[in-house]
Amino acid sequence: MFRKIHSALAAAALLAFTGGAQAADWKPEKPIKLIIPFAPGGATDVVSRILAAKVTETIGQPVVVENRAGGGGLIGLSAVREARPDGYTVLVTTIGFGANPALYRHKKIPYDPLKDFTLITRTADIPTVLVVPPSLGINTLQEFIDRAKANPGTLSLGSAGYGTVNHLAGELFKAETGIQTIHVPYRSGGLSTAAVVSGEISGLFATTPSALGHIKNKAMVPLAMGSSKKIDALPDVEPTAKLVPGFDVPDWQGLIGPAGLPKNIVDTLNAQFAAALKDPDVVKRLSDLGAVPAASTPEEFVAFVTSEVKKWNGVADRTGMKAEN
Amino acid sequence: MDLLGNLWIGLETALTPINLLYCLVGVFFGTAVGVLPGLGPVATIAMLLPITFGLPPESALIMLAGIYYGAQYGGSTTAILVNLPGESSSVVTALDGYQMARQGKAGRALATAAIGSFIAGTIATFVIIFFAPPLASIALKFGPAEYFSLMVLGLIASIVLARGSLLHALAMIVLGLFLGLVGTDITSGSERYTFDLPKLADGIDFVIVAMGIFGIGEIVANLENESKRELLAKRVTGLMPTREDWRRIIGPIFRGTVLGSILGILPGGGAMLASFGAYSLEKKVSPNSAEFGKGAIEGVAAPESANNAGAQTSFIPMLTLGVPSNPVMALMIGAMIIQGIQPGPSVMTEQPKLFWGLIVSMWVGNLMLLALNLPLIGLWVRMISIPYHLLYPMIVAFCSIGVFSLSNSTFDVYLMAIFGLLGYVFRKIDAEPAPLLLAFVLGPMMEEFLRRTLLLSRGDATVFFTRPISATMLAVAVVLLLIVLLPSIRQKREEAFEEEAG
Amino acid sequence: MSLIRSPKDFWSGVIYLAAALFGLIVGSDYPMGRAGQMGPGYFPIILSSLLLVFGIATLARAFIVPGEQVTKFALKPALLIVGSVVLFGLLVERAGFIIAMFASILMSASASREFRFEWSAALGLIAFIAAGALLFVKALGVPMPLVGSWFNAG
Repeated sequence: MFRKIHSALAAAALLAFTGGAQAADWKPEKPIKLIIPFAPGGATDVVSRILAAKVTETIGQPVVVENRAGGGGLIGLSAVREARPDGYTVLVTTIGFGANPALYRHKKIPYDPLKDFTLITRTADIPTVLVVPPSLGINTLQEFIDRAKANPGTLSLGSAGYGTVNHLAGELFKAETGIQTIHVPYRSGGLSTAAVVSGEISGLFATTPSALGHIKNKAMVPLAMGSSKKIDALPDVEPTAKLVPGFDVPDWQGLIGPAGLPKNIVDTLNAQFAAALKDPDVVKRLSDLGAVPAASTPEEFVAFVTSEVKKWNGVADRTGMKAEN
Repeated sequence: MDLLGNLWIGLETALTPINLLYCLVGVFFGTAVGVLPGLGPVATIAMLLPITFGLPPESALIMLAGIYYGAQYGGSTTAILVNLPGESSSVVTALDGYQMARQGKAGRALATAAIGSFIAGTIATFVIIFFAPPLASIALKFGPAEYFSLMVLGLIASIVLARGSLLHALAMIVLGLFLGLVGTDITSGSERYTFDLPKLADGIDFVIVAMGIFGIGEIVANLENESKRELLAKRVTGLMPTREDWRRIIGPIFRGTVLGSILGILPGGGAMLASFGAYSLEKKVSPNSAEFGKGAIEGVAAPESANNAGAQTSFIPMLTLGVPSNPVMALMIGAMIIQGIQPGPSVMTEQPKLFWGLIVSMWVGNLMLLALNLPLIGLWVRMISIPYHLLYPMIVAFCSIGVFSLSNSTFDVYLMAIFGLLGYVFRKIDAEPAPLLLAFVLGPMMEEFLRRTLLLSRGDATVFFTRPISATMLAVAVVLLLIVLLPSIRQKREEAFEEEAG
Repeated sequence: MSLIRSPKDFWSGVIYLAAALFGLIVGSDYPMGRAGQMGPGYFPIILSSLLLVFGIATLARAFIVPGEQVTKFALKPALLIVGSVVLFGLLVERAGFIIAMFASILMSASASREFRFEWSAALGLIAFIAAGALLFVKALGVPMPLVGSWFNAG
């Protein structure tokens, strides 16, 4: 009961807060298609579905999630790029969005993150953690680096495909430490997690929600956080940044639309998602998932993506990282 | 024994009125999407996922699971009645089931499918109860080399399905693997054989190929000798299996269940491999093997039991390890995470109500499916006793709508037209399309596993022979190939001798 | 007597060869990589080469081992049935579901020698289309307009 009153108060406060922008508010007249460029069931999918359900309650039209998986998210991205900029087709993108220009620069860069899309808001961050199978016999980050340096090219790091957080964190890790590892892409995050449990690969920068259960059951050994902060669920696991200064690769998520999305639509969607990300119920669901709300203004989001593009181009300069084609 | 206590918890959970209701809703929707072409369980579950936010976790998963195995039931109905396999695992059911329907035995085929599925589902439920943890550890022993070898074995076994020569069967398999390449390469993200058509970037949907080659191709072939067709007596001979039928299906049901239970645990094409494997096995061991492809009731019982058993045991890696064995299981894991449950081995100990309730609900759901489907058989049979010249235009229209609804695209409809033409050409040259379809589904996975094996072994192909499970499967594949090859060589030589003599 | 002793093998061989050549020619653009790090071109080239071998073998057999004739290709039903599918695709968004169904069902039905006007069949057709509209368009929400864009211009 208290919670209900509480959220009603919060909603009222928000309404007052965003009241000034109401003149230009955009009122959708048909369902909004929220494209997830990954298979259903993954962390991005689950977080986005929670947000979509919340925004559906407030925006007056259903927000319908559609999974368009494949090509490391490129299939979904090109669908949105070619969509009409009317606000009815938007997409939740992740870390690969800012890294693809670096990954594909040896052939044809598939898109310009800042020119081909309208950035609406960053939504949530999912912390990452470097895990290894117990059979590897490695318990600390330093041991992992030493083993890799002693036997170059024998350890392997898995991923859910090129341009996923697992792949990128691994590449940054290689660039910063100078070690050589084999990159082994899988069809999905779930399968790459399973490959650590079975010992098929020697390590994975996993998203924390996918790894926590296995860590608890001692099916995986956590070496270090891939993102810059410790998390409550893993109080003893230090960030990689302790050994590798500045290392911070969370799986960030953000809402984008086709280029040329009118400002009133951007502002409405930004406000709606920001409100959803403050809803106590949503916050609780996200924290159950291990995700951290990370709402931003459109301008902050543009600045962030700009820095991401620069960061991954820098990694590609050093490691020659690229999509394998 | 703790097992009884666990079972009791499961019964208590699954038999609450609210969970019974969700189970019923699940299997009902499942049957419906299985029967309707185009709509599959993955799309349905993804659509219903947000609705489960408000439900208790047990009810949510019981309903979603019901959709999944309900769809397996429904998929076989159209395969038998009108040769439209809506699910990949019902392709082989269409082979003999449709022939039975043409002989007026549709009722018996449908009843066999339903009863076989029920028995298989019941046994598989107990398999999960007793053996889930040890079986799950077997699944973990399967690395990419083992999967690749398993798929080679599956494809070789599917040659047994084909009636024509070995050369044609092999060529059709390679053709199917090749069709599977169309789309975006999972490993590198580059598009192949798509002619820069964005509509092909996701690859060709299985339903388009199956409806075109099986459904449309069959209709054209039927119209070719229409007069002959009408002569076939369309006398419907009973809706339930006869005593003789029972005698013939009981073995295939049990063998299919065993095979399905084992293969279902393995990620990827488990359920599909199970139904193909069960069919091939029966064709080899059955005393009626000459009847296969012409309406053998064993050819319906075995694959239907196998795919239903497989559908159930595919929950094992998901429940015990938190590892998804197919896209539906990935969605179920998503549903659990939404509920704040960490998938993994702890589910069994920390969420006993969920774990055992879900397992018991599968058996309850199977019972509901049997009760739901048996009375429907009479209705289905009456539906296909409409004169063929009135029935087939409706089937064609049904195919068009179904394929359009896959991704709301007319491009898919045109693509099906092309595969329809191809299906008719295949019939003209006596090429068996079932192995092509199996290869089409397995192709992309096979390539992925091959590449990953060699990536991990750094280009050393001997791993396929040095890892025991992989080596065993390849050896079985070679033996199978020889078994198929030898009679045809002997026959050739005899033919040659006859010619010389004549 | 024709040189081709097994027409069924001959035409199968032609199909396999055509697919193999297509695969090789288009696939030669894709990077091969190497065994330990296969590129997107590796598997397609293996498959196409296998198919090439099977195609040549099948063709060769067609000239050596006698086999069956290919029965007459039923051009009229093939064109009408496949054409009705294409017609549905062409019309469903432009003319709408109702007209597309009428046109394509009549076209495919005309492939049968039993095709003639019957009151019961005509009523059945209307009932079938109505049921289809209710089930797929209304209940399942498949985005097919009942009346297409041609009629909404004004």
